Amino acid sequence: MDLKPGYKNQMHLEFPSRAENVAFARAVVASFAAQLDFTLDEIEEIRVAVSEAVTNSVIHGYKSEIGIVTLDAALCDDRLELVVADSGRGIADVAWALLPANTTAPEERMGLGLVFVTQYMEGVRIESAPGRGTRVFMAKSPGGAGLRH
Amino acid sequence: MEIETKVRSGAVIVRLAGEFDVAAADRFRTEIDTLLDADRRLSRLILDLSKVTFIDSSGVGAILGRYRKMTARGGLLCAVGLQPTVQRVFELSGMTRLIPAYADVNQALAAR
Repeated sequence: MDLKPGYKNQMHLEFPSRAENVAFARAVVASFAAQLDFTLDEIEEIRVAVSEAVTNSVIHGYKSEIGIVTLDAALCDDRLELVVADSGRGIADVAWALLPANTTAPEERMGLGLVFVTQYMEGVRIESAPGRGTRVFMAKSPGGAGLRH
Repeated sequence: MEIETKVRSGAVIVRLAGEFDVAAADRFRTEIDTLLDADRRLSRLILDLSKVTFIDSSGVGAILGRYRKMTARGGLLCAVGLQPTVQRVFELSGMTRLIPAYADVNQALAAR
């Protein structure tokens, strides 16, 4: 792993796309994010966003197969930057997938996962193409954008 | 996530504790559906979420599926003990408009 110039800290994690690793991923990011001055609500938002992005890799990216999910986190000034990536099936139409209720998974998936990500995080960007995997970029600063209450 | 179920006054009371995500959703779905399918007279499903410390759209989706199942058989689903973190996710996903919420199980049982 190369150290990013100008970054205070960074981490890289790789794990199989098993459902039980979703909790592991959000716990790791919550612990890493605690280096910044986030409120408990903001940490909760980060946990939900990571959970949704990793779940998407498990459910949509790899479906019933097991593949590798990567999670990169970095701290730059007071900003947490995250990338969740898989090498799975990819998304044909990212704009469509970002709309509430749009999902390609059967029953009970609400199509809300990416809605939570965009509500809770800043600078959300998704790179994806069929057969070429998906990369979800997101960031958050203490007291910054995201859903305020 | 721990799942504990009991039947009282024709209602299934489900106490959940822990993190309600994709890993917990399948087990929740199977346990609740097995109970409901075994006795069609069960007309109310009360979810005690007071010990749920995390929920995401997978958990919300699993609850929504049981809501639809109860509605289809003319029954009701309600939630009790929503913690702030669960409440926020419920609001964002529109669940608060669908599912009645009560402070505790006794209030939910008393409501008609």
